[in-house]
Amino acid sequence: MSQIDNATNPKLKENDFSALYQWANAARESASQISRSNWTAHLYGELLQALFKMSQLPESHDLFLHSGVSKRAADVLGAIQANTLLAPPRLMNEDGDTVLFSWSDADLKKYLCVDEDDIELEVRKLGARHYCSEIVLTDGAMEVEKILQAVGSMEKNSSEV
Amino acid sequence: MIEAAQSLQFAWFFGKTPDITADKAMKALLGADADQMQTNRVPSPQTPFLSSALRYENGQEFNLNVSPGRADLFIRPDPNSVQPTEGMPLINVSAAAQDVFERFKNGDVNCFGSVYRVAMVAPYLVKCSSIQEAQKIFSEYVGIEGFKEPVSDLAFSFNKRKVSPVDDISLNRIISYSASEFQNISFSIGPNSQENNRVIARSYVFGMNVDINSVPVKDSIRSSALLSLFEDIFREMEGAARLKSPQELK
Repeated sequence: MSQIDNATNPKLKENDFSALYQWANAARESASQISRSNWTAHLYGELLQALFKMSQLPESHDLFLHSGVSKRAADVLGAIQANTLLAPPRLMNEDGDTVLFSWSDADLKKYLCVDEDDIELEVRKLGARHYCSEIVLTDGAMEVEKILQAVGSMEKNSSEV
Repeated sequence: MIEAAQSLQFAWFFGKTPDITADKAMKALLGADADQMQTNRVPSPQTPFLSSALRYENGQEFNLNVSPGRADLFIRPDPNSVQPTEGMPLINVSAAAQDVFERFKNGDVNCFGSVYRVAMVAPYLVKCSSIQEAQKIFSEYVGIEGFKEPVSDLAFSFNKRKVSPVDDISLNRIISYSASEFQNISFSIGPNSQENNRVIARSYVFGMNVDINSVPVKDSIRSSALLSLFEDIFREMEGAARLKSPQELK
């Protein structure tokens, strides 16, 4: 279900990410490129390591992350790394049951929120009250195509890591 | 036709990483037990969640890695069967691929469950006597004139997509040419803790990296079509190895 806090914004159809990006005035990249740098691949590895470390912490620790969430977030990150040229996201742990991946692009902030059941995309315009969000997947489903549509990046055509 | 490569790689991409560990996957794919199996744990590894299996057989190393979102099977020359002074060890890609396909037919190429993308990669190499010879071959393939002044780091790559007859799945066909020099360096500490590093082998190569991979499909590739898709990808790979110029790729 879409959440829009401004009545002037377009009514979004379910999973209509193009409308969401149009609203945010951010053209999705549609070109393609062959591969990413080794350094970027290394940073993705660091993110996976951070996810795994958080899942191994004691439950009482502030940064503890439930293993089911950690595994699902690792799958999402793996799909993004394998198929897009997106820069490695920032990583936030929200109360141990949700992982937020975020990317900044000019005056736009993009969040992909992953928990054991749902994956949700939220786009915010920095310095404004406006935000827009859309459920990407529910009930623990994993459809790589929908995740790639949601994050909206250039395709990575090579099969390199 | 170029036949030798540093390695041959098969890759499976999946949305939900299966619980199968690399040693069990190796048994399912190749019908053979792993000689070594490692499951990486924090804090040591740079690639957590990864399990890795190794098997040595007939002068070849089989290395299977299962990590979030993908599994990769590499076939390389067994490093223990080659002297470092012999330079760069290579495998025959066709022979290695035929052997693996026979094993896949008797094994379970679908052991990772739902797969939305697959790939095969081979870094083909032609050993040369000098960097000038490697650059000459590069120039002939790419169709550029010789350089008047010495140059280095020659590289050219392109992607020509094609629709596979297997379920009409689109394939990226990425071919990259290069002319390079490789050095094997021996690192050792001599008397009085002095470093005694030296180049023990030097190789000049014309390289042609062939990466044939399917574009992500909606849902997943039909399990009964997976082996056929790999075989079609291999036909494309062999076609790329026969090219004399990028323009010949149909």
